[in-house]
Amino acid sequence: MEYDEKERIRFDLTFTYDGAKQKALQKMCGSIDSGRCIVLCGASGCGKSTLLRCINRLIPEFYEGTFEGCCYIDGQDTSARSIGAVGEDAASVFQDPRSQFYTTNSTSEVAFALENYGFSQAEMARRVDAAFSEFGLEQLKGRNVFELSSGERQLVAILSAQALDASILLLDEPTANLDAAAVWELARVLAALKRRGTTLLINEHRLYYLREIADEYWVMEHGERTARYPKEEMLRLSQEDLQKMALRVLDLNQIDADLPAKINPEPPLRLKAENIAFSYHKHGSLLLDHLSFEARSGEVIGLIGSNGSGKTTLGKLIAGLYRPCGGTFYWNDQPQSSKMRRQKSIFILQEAEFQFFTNSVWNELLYGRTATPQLNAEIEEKLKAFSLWECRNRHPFSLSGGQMQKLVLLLAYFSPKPIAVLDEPTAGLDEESLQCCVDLINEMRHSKLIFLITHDLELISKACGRCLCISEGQVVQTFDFYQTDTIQQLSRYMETEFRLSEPKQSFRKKKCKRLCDPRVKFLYLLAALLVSLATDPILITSVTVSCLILTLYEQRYTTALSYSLLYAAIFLGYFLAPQSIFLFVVHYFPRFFPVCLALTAVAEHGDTARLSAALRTCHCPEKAIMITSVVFRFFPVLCKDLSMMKQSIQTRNGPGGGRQAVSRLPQYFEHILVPMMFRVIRIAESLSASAETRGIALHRKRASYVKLHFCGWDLVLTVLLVASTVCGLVLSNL
Amino acid sequence: MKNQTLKRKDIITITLLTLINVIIFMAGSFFYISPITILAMPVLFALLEGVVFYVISMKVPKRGAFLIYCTIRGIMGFYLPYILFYVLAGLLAEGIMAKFRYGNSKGVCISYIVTQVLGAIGGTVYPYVIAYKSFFADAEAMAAQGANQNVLAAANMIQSWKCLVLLLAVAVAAWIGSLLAKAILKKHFLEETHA
Repeated sequence: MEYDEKERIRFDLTFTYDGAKQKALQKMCGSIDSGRCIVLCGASGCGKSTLLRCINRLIPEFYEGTFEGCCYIDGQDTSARSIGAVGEDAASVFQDPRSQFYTTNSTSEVAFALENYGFSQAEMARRVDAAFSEFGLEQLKGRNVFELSSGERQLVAILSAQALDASILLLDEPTANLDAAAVWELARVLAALKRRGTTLLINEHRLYYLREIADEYWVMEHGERTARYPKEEMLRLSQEDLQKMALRVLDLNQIDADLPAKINPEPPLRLKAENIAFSYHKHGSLLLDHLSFEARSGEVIGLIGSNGSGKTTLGKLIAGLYRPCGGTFYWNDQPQSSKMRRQKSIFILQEAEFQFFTNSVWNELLYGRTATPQLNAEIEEKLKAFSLWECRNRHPFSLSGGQMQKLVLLLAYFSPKPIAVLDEPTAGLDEESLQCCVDLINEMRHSKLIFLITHDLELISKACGRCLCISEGQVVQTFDFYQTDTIQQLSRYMETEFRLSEPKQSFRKKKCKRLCDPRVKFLYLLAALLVSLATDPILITSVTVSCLILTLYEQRYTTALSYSLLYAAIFLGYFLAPQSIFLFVVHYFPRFFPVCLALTAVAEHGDTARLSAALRTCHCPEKAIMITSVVFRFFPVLCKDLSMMKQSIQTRNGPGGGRQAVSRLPQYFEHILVPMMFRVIRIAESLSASAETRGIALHRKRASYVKLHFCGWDLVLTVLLVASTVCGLVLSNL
Repeated sequence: MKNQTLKRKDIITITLLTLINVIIFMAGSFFYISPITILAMPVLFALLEGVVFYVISMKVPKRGAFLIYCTIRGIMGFYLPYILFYVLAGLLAEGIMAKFRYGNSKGVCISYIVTQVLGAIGGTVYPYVIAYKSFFADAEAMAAQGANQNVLAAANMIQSWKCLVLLLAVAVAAWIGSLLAKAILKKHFLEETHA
């Protein structure tokens, strides 16, 4: 193949996934010149993501199947290179930033690829600083990724690629989980990258934000490129033309309210929220503060607001999954407890995969209901309308993301409950699927009151009669599209008022806490583990005291206080009632105190960067460092997932107290465990794909971005540990 | 024959799946409330942890998978004997799987039973016995004054040959746990249902 110097990427590819009957890509040929921005569009499953995976070499090295053809990047055949080596030239940004992050700190995440590619510490520091400052995103620096909104995480993922100075950026549905403000911020960053000469290849359903950036649109269908439109030609296409190709609008101004006629079901059912207040922490600031609204059956109400404004929280309050700390909900003027609201509402989580309990699409829709010929016929009709009929015997977890979204919508449709709260039901859906969802929602409103938590203007324009805008804990504005308000007004409002994160939630730079050198903490952990073998209370107490001093040095006063009180309570209990159970407790439990204290110190709230740096200086194998990072990074995530599973069970099963709850325990166990396992398998896949493209598998000498300093206090704490252990040993032998 | 070397994706999958069992372990920590229920802990874990063990064996049927599982599972117990016994269990499980072939159901079942029994020795029998020894002198003296008879009965049980009964109970629970795991695996991972 002849190499043209202008060409950044050239390919001629055919690929079939292992176990698939059809080819995912069929003789897909093309080339992309330097500095161009190509947008891949088309219905879900048309092969857009597969093409990106072939270019970044995840296919065939990571995703197995039959690969034919070739791909060249800057004239070099990628088949001779590893995924990591290709990633140096062509960086990848994936759909879900939650599961592609490898560390818990935004700066460490940006530096992660640089560490893998063997840059020196000074060069890493320079590149990381430059990446944040070049795009004016310094506010994202040094942040805990759990504090970031989806949009901010996606920006960090792009900065991570930017720091590497890759000449090509491959983006796979980067806005699937983003709100309006984040989409525009992303557009700004992509435009800046294009100006710098970066070649962009973007797989996307939302097209409006790419109007000013894209040079060419490639429309794909069944693994082939069926059309290729230069920007000007694409922008001339009518909405009908776009719909025929399953494409979404190219300009938000093209969207007009297209609502079905207003209905008033009889008897009217009313929901009223009066002065609702809510906080996630008992004495924390209120996320929702004196929020009030009224709604009635037959309405579809959009809940909109910036990321972190409390839309999902309000949805969960309506569905009875949370209990407000102030105010009351009324259903037909009757006050409603959380339990009563749970009986009347179904909440469809944004994370569809949490809500599947059975082993097939068909069984999922029948779950908790008695099969009748009428119900079977209705399910069949809806499955066919949603193009899920062929998948009816498949396990819900084997479906694609879009198919899962459609299935959870059907769960809401077939639920007998009169209120449905749908959280981002169209995230990542193509035009055709969006239309299916709209039809279903419009059908559902005849028997239900529906709340839509969404950022999708196209969905709002076709389904929502009213939108409540939430900010600063209250409904600050209402748009009524059956009255005088227009979608364009809402669009302008979203553009001007929405921010990357809500001011109440925005990051307040915390006072930097003192942190001891992680290597010293390893010593504490080792001593604590050894002491856990001992029986003498004096030795155990002396090491516990040194661990408490370490905790106090790191200014974790609450932890130190609670452990001290518990420790004292155990011994006090023993002295007050020596012949009771405390006799056992006092000899059994104290040994675990120093271990827990040392481990809490080592964990550093899940910030694995310093931990990895310490392990690297101790010449720990890279695979062990990887395992440690994954454990600390994902343990809190999985614990949070557990509470989401609980909510999912609550909203689908309704209440079940006492004996019923006990008899259902094995079923609950299965309902929690199986989705967790499938989710974990998905996370593992996306995390490792993301890490592979950022060079984790390369055998290069790595330096750590984080610098460790062994200071005087570290020496003092080491001496303290040795002294307390020796004292404990001496005193226990006296 | 597929590559038997663990890839990074495999290691991450094993690590994350193991964390689910760690969560089960931590959720069961309320059993620490009394010396009697502590003895029930390994039996409960043996019943519940099998599903993840089997999913690992199915998703990553490669050398080293169980050793990584056992090492992480042990370390997350935060107790040295527990860690050591779990690592030993991992080595034994690897030996068993090498003999039976990776992914073999019988091999996985035996490996799981061995893992749970050794985990019970490291996590329950060992600390109970040494705790008992240290307070035994006090306890005997206090028994005469009406000390908690349940504690003494439990401690006596674990101190004597009766601890074999506990280990046998763990082995039986692990076997039942492996049957449950196989059923869940068949239902959710292997079988296509027919509407």
